[in-house]
Amino acid sequence: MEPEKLKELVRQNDNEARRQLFEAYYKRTYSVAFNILRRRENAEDITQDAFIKAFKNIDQLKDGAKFGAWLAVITSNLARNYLKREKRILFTDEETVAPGESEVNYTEDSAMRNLEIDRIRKAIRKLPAEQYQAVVLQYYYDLKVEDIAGMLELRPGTVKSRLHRARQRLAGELEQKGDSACLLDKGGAGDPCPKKKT
Amino acid sequence: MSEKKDIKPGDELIKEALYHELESIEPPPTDEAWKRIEAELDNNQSRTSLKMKQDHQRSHQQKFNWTRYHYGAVAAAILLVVVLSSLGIFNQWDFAALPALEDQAPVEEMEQPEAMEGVEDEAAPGIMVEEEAPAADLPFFRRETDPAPPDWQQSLPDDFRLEDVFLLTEGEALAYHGATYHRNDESLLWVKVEADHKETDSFKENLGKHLQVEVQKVGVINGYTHFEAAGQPGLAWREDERIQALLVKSGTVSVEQLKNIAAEIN
Repeated sequence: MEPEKLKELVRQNDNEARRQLFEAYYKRTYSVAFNILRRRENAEDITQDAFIKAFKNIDQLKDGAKFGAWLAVITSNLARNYLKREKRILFTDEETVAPGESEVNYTEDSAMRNLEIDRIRKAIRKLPAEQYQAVVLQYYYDLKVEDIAGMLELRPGTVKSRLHRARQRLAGELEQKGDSACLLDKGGAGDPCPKKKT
Repeated sequence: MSEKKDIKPGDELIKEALYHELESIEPPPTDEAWKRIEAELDNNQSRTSLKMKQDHQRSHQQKFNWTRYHYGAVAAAILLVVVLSSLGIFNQWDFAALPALEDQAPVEEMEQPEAMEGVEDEAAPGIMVEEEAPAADLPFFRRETDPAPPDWQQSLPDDFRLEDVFLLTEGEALAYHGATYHRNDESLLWVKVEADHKETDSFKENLGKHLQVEVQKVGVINGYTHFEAAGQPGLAWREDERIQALLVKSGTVSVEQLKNIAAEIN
């Protein structure tokens, strides 16, 4: 169904439309919450709260096609507020291995790339919530800096700065492993950065 | 140039890692989560329809009363004036009757403050006195004009409207900024206090002093400290260097609804 049509149905309190959106976005919404909170039960609560808030405030969504990104902003804001209240630093005390990480089948060709991806995944989990939020919106939802700024009600410069700091932080985490050049675009002629296989 | 077209090799790596990260996390089954969402939305909808119905009835009632009675009332008043004038009542008003009226007036004036003071002074811990008039409906704490109130929102989610702003003071307890929000017969109290870590422990105790009821911690919900004050639910949380609490002052607002409101005002 068309996103705008779904949005309109949700606005009219159509339960089927809500359920459809819930089914479509539940997993990734939970993942966003989990990556910030690192605790399953908290992520569950925040995910549910995020959907409730989104459905109740659907009028505020300007573009129905951006429901997923908008929901991610709501989710990450709720999760950030939760952390602020709790004053917890959860990024380092639970080195949870996300499901799927150990299930990757390394072939000889892809072994190096998969190893690097695993390292970045671990580094992503250590990002501060506001940087993680910007990274998810840009890299997962493919939003432009201006769109992210609009959704987060920030200046584009602030978003750029958060993204830059996130990259720096990822690079810093990977520095010991010698992969930071890729993330800071310092590869030079002998670019060691792996290229995406198509 | 758009950001999408400006992807560097490092960006590709981040993108792929993030994709794996988000797609690999296995959430719990959807059924329980959906049930709670559905219940909460249904609850919200029924409250909204109830409010709409009440508003409709109220406006209908107002219209009904006006159209039906105002001409009659005006006519009756004119008739009364004409009759009294014709009888010369205004000119021959018996001022001797006034003392009786004067006797009554001070009693009414004095009874209100006495009753208020009595409630404030005598309210036993653990007992919350229900009042109807919102303006005089704060028997369980002392309040003063807040010289420097925080920037209170005009409304809270679910149609709660700002009603009053004040400063709660009680003996040596740290003064709390307070505001009440009203919706039909339900009322919420929101308090804020600047505090450092040392004062966190005394927050509950001080809140109890301000409310003149026993405040008991029930547990933790979504990072909020869940407490009860005279059987009514409340939530407390820390936001930067400020401790805040939102509690039900009157009416039946569930802790779940309270949590949703607190989440939205953060």
